[in-house]
Amino acid sequence: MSARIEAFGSLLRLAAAGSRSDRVRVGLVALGAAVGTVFSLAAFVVLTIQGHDERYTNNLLQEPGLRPGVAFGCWLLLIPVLVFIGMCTRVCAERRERRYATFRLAGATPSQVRLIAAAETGLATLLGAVVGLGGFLAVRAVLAARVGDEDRLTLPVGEPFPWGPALFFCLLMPVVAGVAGALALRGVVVGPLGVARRHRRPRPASWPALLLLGGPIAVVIGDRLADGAIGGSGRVLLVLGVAATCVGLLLASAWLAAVGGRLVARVTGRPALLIAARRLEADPGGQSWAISSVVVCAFFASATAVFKADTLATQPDDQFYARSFELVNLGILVAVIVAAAGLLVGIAESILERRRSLAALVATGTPIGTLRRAVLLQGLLPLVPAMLLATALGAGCVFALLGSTGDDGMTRTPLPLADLTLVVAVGIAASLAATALSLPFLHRGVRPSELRFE
Amino acid sequence: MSTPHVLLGFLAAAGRHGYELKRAHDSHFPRARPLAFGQVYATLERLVRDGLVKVAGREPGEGPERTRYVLTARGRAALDAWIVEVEPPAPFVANALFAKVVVALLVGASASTYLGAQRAAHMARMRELTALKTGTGATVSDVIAADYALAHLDADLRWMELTGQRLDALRQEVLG
Amino acid sequence: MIAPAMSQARFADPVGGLLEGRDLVQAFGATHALRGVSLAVAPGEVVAITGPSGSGKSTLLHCLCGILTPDGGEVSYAGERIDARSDAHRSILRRTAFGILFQFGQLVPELTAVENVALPLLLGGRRRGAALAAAGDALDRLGVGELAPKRPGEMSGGQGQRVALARALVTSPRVLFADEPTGALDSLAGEQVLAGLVRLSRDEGTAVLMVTHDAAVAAYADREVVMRDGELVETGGPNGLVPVGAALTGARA
Repeated sequence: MSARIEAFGSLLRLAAAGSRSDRVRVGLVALGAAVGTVFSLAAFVVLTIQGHDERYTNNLLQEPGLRPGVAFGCWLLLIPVLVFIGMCTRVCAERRERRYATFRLAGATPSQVRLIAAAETGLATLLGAVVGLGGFLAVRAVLAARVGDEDRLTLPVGEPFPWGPALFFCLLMPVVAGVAGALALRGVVVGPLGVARRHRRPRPASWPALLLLGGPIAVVIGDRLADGAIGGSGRVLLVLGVAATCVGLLLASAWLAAVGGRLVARVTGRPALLIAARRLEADPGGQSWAISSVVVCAFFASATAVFKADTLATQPDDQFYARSFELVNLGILVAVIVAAAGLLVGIAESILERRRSLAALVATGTPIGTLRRAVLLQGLLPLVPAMLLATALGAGCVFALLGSTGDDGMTRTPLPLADLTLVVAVGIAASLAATALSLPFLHRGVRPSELRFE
Repeated sequence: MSTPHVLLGFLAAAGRHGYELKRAHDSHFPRARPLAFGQVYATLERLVRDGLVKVAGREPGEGPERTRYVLTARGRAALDAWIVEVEPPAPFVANALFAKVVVALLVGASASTYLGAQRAAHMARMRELTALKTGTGATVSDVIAADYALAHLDADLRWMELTGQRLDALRQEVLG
Repeated sequence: MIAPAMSQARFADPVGGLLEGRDLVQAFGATHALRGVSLAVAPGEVVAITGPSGSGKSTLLHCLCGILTPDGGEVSYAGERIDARSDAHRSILRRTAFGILFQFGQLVPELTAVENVALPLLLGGRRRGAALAAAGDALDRLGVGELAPKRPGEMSGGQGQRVALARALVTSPRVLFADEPTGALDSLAGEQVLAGLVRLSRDEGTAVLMVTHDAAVAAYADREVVMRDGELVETGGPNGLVPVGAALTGARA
């Protein structure tokens, strides 16, 4: 028995050992976990507020019926965080796989290697959770100290801290991450001689595109049913429809990117576009998760914009709604920033993975400006159509909803073009910023020294 | 294996008897076929006849084993000329190359200079053979024959490179 | 005894020529890769740079083709200094007047073979249709025309190297730089590439500068220069290798 404990201890030590790139990856995963913990703790804390509490300046926190929505919103923010963590685990994946192959060579069994992978991800997440918890408590204490008894509160700092759910979450997340880390190796056979992958990266599935059609339809149908006799099922269908659209946006983007890339590559004569399009076709999944999360944010943002336009049209002076929408938009902005961070990590990783062929391109006469444009295009090509589509879908879904409830049948819901344009612009700007921030990796990656090694 | 020149090399340091020469040969070249006494004396006779070696003295007793031989000035000159001379590059010259390196170390000549010159000759021959391969009118048989010679010359080159790096150790062993 | 002189002497005057590097110095941190190396290449000449690993051969090649700006010394092409020119100018030079071939990893894995070969032409502004057609011809000339729609991952090493050579040659360069061009190939594939290089210099008058540690590969060259520890220690043609000092004063072995 003690031998097994010792072996487990050794495995943990192996998981903790690693080179600089492994430490970078662990650091990034921990950062993502910390941010996710903060969001989750915020949700828990909001839920601790009891009853109707006049102290809060924001109505969303005052009303007991609305607080679950706020908490739900906070948890929704975990989605871009998860995407970010997913992008981070791919950083320097090749070197990690070589490390695992060395373990196999030294005699580790496949399940031991999976355990090491799980331990690495789990430990990184635990570290992040602890840091997030500590930071949250510290900031909360500071804010609480500055509040007098009679002041109105903007944030819930006075309630007793929900230790139970918080600790549960902080322990659950590393376990989930560990399992995910082990599962991620499922399709990859790490043998002693290295990784044996499936022969080609599987072509992205095209069926999620159907969700993009079926989801909005379900929303419309569900909404019509919600007013009628089977209201319960109607509401369920509505929610499912929204979820299906989001999932469709997330999953279909890889397929759309691949198809789009192939089409563009067939017709273009411009080198930067050719390189970007072929790269998209070859590895559509690479950044599509990160792009998808930006796109899903656009979906929600445009839906919110239409809701807001409609609400303000019928009740132009209602402070409650105005402030609520501001809060929702703030949440979406945070999500966009996290998603853009995930995009940055994804692009940087993709550049570093290809650095030898990029260095060879520069060495054989490709100007670095062409490669810069190729990286930018690789981010923009799948993004712009997806953004437009998601914005349209978000607005469309809400339009369908409002049109069907048809308050008085006479006030037409105005199309908030300005807001929608802003949504698209912000999304594209965030992605461009992320891409631009990744360019230093390009300059570092194409130095002649990269030509040396095998 | 250029036995005459090897014997000249052994005589460079001091005069020796025939049996001493055979022993020296077998100990310095253990992988080669042991030198037969008959061959030693036949070679010595030829060397004496050519004036490269002369009889220095006879011990009392029977037979040629008692005769001491020494190097003449002409013999020394011939030895020195042989040491710096490159072997014609061809397959299976390794034994001759090794003998020359050992003898050079024995007499204190520069083995590395010799190896450098030999390498140049080998490379020049390899260039010729390669030009033959890529020239107009080269048949497949020509190419195959050239490939054979090239492979052996390449092997020699690799050996020369390694030996060049081991010269210090070899010198200690040969003189030690 | 020196080997008989070559019957087909293609030995051109090495002093002054198409491409010239003078007193090149390059250090990477504490490592001195080049300690004052001078080399001149004449038009149509095939030159091999040999020496043990770490001797600075690849660094010399990188300096001469403009990938690297040397810490000291000059590089001139066709009489004009290029080491001081801008990155953009040298990029253009590398895809028009120069062709470059590495040991591995030089094709873009996502592009098809014909797209890889057409890339220098597209960068020069040629239209897609014309560029792809010219690229197809280049592939045909090297005997790998049927690989045009395939990706690098679907080819053998020898085929990939020939596609890379096609890309290096598609702009009809005057100088071809090759860094261990056959290092990753088996004997026959390597021979095909080398035969292609020799044909190139003979038929098109392209100068070829190759780095290799393999004597059999160096035997394809008209002239060999030997590097050791960042210095050029020997240089020679069909008359054999001479130490560098003697070569500069014109003495022959």
